[in-house]
Amino acid sequence: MPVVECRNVWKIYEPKVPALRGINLKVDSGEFISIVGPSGCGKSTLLNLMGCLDVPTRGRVLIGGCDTRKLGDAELSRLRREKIGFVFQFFNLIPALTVLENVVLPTVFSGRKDPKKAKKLLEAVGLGSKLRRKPAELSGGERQRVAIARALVNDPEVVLADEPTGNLDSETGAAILDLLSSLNRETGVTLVLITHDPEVAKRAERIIYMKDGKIVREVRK
Amino acid sequence: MKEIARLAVYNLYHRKLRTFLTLTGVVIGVASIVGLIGAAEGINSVITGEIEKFQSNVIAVVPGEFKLQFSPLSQYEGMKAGKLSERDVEEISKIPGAETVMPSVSSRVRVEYGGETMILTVFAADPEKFREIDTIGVLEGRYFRSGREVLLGYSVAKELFEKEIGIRKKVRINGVEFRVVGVMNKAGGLFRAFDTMIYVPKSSAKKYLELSGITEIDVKVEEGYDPGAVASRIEEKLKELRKGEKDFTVISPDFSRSIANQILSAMQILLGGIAGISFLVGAIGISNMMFTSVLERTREIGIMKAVGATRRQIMAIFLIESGVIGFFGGILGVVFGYGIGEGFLALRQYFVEKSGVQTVVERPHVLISPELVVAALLFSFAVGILAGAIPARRAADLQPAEALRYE
Repeated sequence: MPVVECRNVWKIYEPKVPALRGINLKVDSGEFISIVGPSGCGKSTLLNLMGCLDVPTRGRVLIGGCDTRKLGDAELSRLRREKIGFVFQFFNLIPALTVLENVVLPTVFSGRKDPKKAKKLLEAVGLGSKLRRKPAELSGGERQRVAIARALVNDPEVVLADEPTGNLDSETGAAILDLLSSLNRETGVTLVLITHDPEVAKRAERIIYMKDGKIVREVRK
Repeated sequence: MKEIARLAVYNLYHRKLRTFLTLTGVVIGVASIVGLIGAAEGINSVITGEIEKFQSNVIAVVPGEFKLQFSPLSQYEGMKAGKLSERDVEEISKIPGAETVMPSVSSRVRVEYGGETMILTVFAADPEKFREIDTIGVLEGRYFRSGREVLLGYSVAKELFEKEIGIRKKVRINGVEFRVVGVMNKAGGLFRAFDTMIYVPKSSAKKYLELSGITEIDVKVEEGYDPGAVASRIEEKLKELRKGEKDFTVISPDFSRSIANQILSAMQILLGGIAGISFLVGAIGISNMMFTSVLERTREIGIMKAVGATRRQIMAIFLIESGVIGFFGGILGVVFGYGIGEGFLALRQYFVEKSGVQTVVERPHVLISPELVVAALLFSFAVGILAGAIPARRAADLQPAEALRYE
């Protein structure tokens, strides 16, 4: 069974601007795929739908076989908590919380607060010495590592990364990509990477090219 | 749930400035409510106290007819002139329950002392009866007996003249020298300015001040009789004597009370108005603070949803935050409100004194009842929660993708 499946997904923003026009996509467990395309092609919208951050106007998104259209807020929250980890372009850490607290946060919402695991993950991404810092005291690359640790803390099945290197210099960006692909290789977590940069996209096993809300090409290595 | 609550408190702690500003808004709202209501309650209680003091077993009959309305009772000017006679006094004396019946005459006179001249009201009555009916009592010296003896109201002796007037001093009344034999206690009183009057024997008023006639009949009601019933008897009798024409007014304790109650209810309406406006101002202030504080965190709500928070968990965080602010804001508001109220009353006192009004009423202080405290705390807690809940709910209902886009 695919981890995430999109069946003829449409997303139309008011007033009648179609961002996605009939997307069909299956992501299998353990895959590393990238979705690439110019800005405005709908790739972020697609990622939001795959991560249950938004709902499609038409069509279905299935997470582990579950039709998200049929789920209420509590179940969608549970899916986001248990099956999905997000990494955003602008990190989206909570500024008032420390590095460690930011990573612990998803476990608080799942009712199984686990600071030990959070600490272990932060050590794994090389931030073991900066647990008590605030996000503002970190560099961009460090913040993205915090975000990656946070995405992993609830053992998700899939990590959705939206331009994770978009706000970083190329060297730092490369290091983040190394980290993500090694996670995919070593832990088997499914990885969906969104980028506008074909070079970045090439790191994936499967590359999906998008344009004007449609998948135009698919390349498998 | 415990972790959620901790997160909420943590948020408050880590946004000290925001929390401080929001709290300030709440404190101002609550303080204005508590301060103004407390001040109004204080004034209210002074008035109520004055009503309690009012003699309850003395009926006064005065010429002319007043309607039951708020008017300064010590001034009888501008009313239909009626006359009271010796005959009236005799007839009233026959009424059961009329223990002491004291006709008196009062008039405005010139009083000179230590080079100063004041226009005051002199009240002339029979010495025996005056002593029987008086409830104010003598502070220094004694009641007047006969001849050119004068008893001074408290303010006349202590406050009105540059130099205090002691007993055995001489004052000139309409140019005639009288000896001060006593000073009355401070009466206070809203209805009649007892403290600014002077009191002389009726016979002396006639002989030296050429005051005659009757301008008031005071009746002391015997114990065991209902003053209200005696008052209506007197009214009937006097009407009968005048063949049905009513050119007099019987002021029973009830009558005085009802006028006092009118003042009081005017006060209460004012108080209600102040309370209403304060509540509104407070509620708007609190809502405004909560609203902006939640709105600016819409993106944060998006982040929390993205990492798996449910709608309910997000609501709980914000409700606890705004509830805590509401509660502590309420407590601080009560404390500051007391200060604001006292400040307001001090300012009022300053203007009253500056205007030169002779106040016989004691200075009011802020009165904060337990009910007011409870109401203020409940109010700020409820408004805090409500004002936090509405924007939090809106934010929690957004699709996380939309909340994340919020700038």
